[in-house]
Amino acid sequence: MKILVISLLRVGDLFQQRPLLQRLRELYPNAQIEVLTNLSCLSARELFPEVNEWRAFDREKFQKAVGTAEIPLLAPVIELETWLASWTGQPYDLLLNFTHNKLSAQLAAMIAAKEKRGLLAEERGFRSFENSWLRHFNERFGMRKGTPFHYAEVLAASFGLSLPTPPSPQAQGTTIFIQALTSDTKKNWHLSSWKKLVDQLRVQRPDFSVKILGAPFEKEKLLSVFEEEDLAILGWTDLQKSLKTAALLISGDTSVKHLAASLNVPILELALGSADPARTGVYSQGDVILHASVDCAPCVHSQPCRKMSHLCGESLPVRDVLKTALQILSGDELSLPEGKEITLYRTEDVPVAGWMLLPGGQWTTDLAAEAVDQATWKLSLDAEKIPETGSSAWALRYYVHSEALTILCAEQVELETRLQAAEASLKNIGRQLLAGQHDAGLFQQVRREFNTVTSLSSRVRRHLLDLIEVGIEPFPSPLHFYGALKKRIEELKVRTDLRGKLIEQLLQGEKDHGKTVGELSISGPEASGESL
Amino acid sequence: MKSLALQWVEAQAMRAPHIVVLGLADGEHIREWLADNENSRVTVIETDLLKMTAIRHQSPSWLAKADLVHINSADALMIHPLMKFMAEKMAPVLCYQPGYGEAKALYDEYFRILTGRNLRGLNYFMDYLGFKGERSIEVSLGGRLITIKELGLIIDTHHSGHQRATAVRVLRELVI
Repeated sequence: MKILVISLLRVGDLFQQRPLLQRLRELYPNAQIEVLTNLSCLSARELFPEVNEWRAFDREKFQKAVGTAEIPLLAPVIELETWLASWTGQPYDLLLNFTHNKLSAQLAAMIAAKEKRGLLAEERGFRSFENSWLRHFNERFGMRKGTPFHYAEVLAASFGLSLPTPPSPQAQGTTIFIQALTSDTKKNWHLSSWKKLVDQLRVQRPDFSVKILGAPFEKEKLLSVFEEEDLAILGWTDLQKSLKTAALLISGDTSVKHLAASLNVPILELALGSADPARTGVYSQGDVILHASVDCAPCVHSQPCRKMSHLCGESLPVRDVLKTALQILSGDELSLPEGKEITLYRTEDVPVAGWMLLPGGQWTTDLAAEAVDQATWKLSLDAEKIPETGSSAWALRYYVHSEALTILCAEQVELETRLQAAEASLKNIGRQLLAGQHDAGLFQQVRREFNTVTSLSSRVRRHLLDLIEVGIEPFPSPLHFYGALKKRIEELKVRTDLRGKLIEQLLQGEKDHGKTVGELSISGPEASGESL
Repeated sequence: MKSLALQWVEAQAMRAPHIVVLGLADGEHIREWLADNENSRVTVIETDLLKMTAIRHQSPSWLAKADLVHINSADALMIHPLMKFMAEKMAPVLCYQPGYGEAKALYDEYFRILTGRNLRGLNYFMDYLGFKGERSIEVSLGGRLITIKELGLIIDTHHSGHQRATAVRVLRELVI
């Protein structure tokens, strides 16, 4: 069996996809697994023993050919076809496009395979998505607050590949590693701040050594602040070996962070600029993220910082990073940052809900409500299977207490009211269409109703986002508007019903047992003979 | 001080086993190019037959690695075997403007045709590569060269189902 995985982003994404490649290897132990990636990512291939063969897409070469007037316009077309033909012989049995962008979708269309999964270009547009997770990935992952899930979770679910439990950090040595530079200057903390941090760490914890990590091309920049002997300029293989002796890695949003997480290295992540901890923060349970929550963060990945100065970087004081690092090293309780716009998060894996960020490192009422909501999303996206709300409620019972249930109930009323209103509007529109009428005023009114959401909680708004979009989007005809609205309302109904059932079962569990959270049998309903 | 010819060679970022150069002048730039690219072969297009004949009479050693082609109109270029060669080899086309003399507009037209960056040239190469049928450009180029974006539009409008259409779309994604 021959499998091709397309992964055309950065090394950090490859590391995040690694558990999926490992899962593929488990599922198909004898398969020839190949990965098509950017030439720039090829240097990390030695860290992926589950991959048999790597195919390098020389993006820069093709970009240059396309943008050079002296090269005939059709020359890169021939070159691309020749390159593909040089390594794609017999059709692949399975092609998985892990890169959710148009480029990879077009490339996937050019490669012969018996079965293709993921985004795929067709003659006119793109293939409709084969499962609800892929649709969710496509429609919501690019939108801020559009999804409650981490990139790794959405990707794994989209391809039906189960993700292992997020790794837990465990200090394995006495070296503190610093990864000061990221791939994007917006995400960098100023080097002078890193220098102060390193100096302070050495003074306060002389029992640890501190090393500054860097790739060869970063050396010159690092030498502008650090001494040669401070640096550990390493290739991927040596880096992996070194990280296995780490007490802590302090890093921006980098590929090194993702690699370290998979090696159980304790991590303190500094999420600045376009780094979005909720979607691509360190995927682990028990690591710490300091996020500069300035108004413009997280900013757009592909655009330069538009502010007069680097607000997010400047808002992160050295003393907060130092204090948090020292607390992690000594195993002390984490204290809140002093920086006004700095949020401390601890990563957590919550049953059913999945990976979550705990603000202040603490479990809060709002977070409990968020966990139930996140679980609802997961169950509704898994809706092709019959959702098991009973066992989900049981699994969540330790995390959700009365105050959270009160919030959830109030939100549920709001959500159901909105859903009923939307269903009524849909019926009205349907009647008009059947009668061959088109009252523009009614359509306008419906659109306005969907957009009136400012008073709602962010969770309820997130559920209604699809309706808001339908309200804004132009449609070629009223019938198209009706069709899109109907589909969105049906999806919202599934989610709302599931959410209601989950809340009801959590309430019922609390009522039946008359116990507070944490007093139920940890072995589950089967062990106690009880059922929710 | 470096000669114009040497400066021209040094300014070229392109390296290829076979190139087409527009403008012969005194041939110095070709000599310099071949000195710098020993394994390269050059086809030189010249509009002035007298100039070309004079160089041939001088018989410089670099002529062994260069083909001199006299073409004096765009119509003549379109039926010249060089077009078939370009369709097969897709060689880069370099402009030696000091050699253009009074024929700048004609050389500019040659450049657009040979690189497929005007509709006339593009039609030829697309036909050669099997994109059958009529095609047009819906947008005004205003003197600009056709780029991958316009090619993408042509593909989407006239050849969306062609087996090579996807390759064009892949490349278009690299510049959007």
